[in-house]
Amino acid sequence: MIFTNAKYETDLFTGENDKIIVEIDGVITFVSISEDNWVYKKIKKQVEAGELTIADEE
Amino acid sequence: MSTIKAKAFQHPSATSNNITFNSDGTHTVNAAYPTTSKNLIINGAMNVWQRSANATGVNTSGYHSADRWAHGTDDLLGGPLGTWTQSRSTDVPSAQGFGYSLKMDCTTADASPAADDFLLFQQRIEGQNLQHLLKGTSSAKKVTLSFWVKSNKTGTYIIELYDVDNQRQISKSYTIDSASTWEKKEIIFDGDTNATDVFDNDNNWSLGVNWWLGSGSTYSSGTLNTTWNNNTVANRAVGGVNLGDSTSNEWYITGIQLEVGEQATGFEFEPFEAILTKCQRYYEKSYEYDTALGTVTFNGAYYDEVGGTNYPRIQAHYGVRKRTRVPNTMTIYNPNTGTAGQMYIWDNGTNRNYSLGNTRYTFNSVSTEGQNNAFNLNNRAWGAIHYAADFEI
Repeated sequence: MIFTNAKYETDLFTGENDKIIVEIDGVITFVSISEDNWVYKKIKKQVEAGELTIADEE
Repeated sequence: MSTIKAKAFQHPSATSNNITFNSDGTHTVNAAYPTTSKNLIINGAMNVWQRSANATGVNTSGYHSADRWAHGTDDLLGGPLGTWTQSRSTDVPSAQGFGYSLKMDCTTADASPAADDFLLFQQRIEGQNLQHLLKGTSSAKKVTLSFWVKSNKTGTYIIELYDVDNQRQISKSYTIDSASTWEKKEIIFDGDTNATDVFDNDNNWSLGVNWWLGSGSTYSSGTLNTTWNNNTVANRAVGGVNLGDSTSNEWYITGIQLEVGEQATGFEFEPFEAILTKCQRYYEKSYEYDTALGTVTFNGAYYDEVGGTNYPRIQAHYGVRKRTRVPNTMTIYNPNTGTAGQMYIWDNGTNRNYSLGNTRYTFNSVSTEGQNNAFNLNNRAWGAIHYAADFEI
C-alpha cells in the first residue's frame, strides 16, 4: 500500500477529524481514524517515520 | 445384510457412552469437539476472492487477493521480502475436493534479506471466536492445523500461532519433502495453560496463524520456540527457508483447517454462499462478485433519489449487517466512469460526474454528497455510487 496526498476530513455533525482522505495505490479512499484499524495504523507508522504527512482539511 | 442391535457404544475406560442409540431410530454422539463449524479458519479452501483473483506487484502488507488471507511483510523497517503475484490457481491436490489453491509466485527476488525483512502468509482470528480454546487456563485445549501445500522449493518451513492479546507465541516446523508435489501437513499445537493469558472476548484480532515464508536475522537468530512463551522475536522463525530467494519460486496452499483437538479430521466443506457471508463480515463491495473495483458498470450500484440544492446527496445501506465496527476504509466509485472519489448524477437527461464532498459512513450505511456544482433541486435527478468497504482486523 502506497499512501499519498493524505488529508484529514472533519465530520459535519461532530466537528472532529474522524477520517483521512488518502490515495492508496492511487485510489482515493476514506480511512477511519481508529486504533483498531489496521490501515490507519500503517498510516500512523509512516507519519511517525517521517515518510508521510497528513494535511489539515482545506 | 444384518442389523446389529445395541443401546450404546462406550470406551472401556469411559464412564459415559460415546454414542447412545435412541429407541426412535436416532442417535446421540458425545462429541469431544465440534463436528460442525469446527474450522476456525475462514476461506480455507480459497473459494472466495472478492478483491482480486490475480494480484500483481504485491510487496506491501495487507489484503490483496483471497478473502481473509493477509500478506505480511515489513513496510517500514527493512523493506519487503520480495515482490509477489498472488493468484487463484486451479492446481489442487488430486481427488480431495478442492477447486482452488492460492499461488504465491515470486516476481522480484530478495536472496539476502535485511535483518528486519520478513514474509508471512497469515489469517487473523477474532478473540470471541476462540473462547472455547480455554487459553490461559489449566484446561487449555490443543489445536491441530492441517493444510495442503506444494512448492518447487523443498526444505523446512515455519508455522506459528501468535497471541496478539498477550504477546505470546508458539512455532513449529514442517518440511516440503518433494518438489512440486502436493503434500498434506498436520501440525499439533499445545494449549497455552499459562494463567491469565486468555484471549480477549471481543471482535478484535487475538490470534494470528502465520506461515513464515522468509525472514531476516531479527526473527531467526535464536532458537525456535516450540512451546507457548512470551514473544522473543529472534525465536519466531528459526531454520526456515527463504521462499523469496529466486524468481523461480512458487508456493501453493489450500485446504487449511484449524480445529480443536489433536487430530486432523476431514476438511469441513461449506457452500460458497456460507463462506462468502463469513468473508463479508470483513470485506464487502457493491460490484458483482467477479467484477473488479473501478469497472464502468451500473450492475450492483446503489441508486438514490437526489436532493439538496448545490450539494446532491446519495445514501446507501449495505446489504449485510454483520459488523459492529465502522469500515477501516471506504472507497466510493462513480459507476459511469469507474473513477474513485466520484459520484454519478443523472440530471434531467444530463450525465454529471461529481467529486465527493462530505461523506459519512457507519457499520451499515454510507452517505455522500457531490461538491458544489450548482445542482438544481427542481430537476428530475437520481444518483448512483459503487462502494468497497474493508472491515478486516
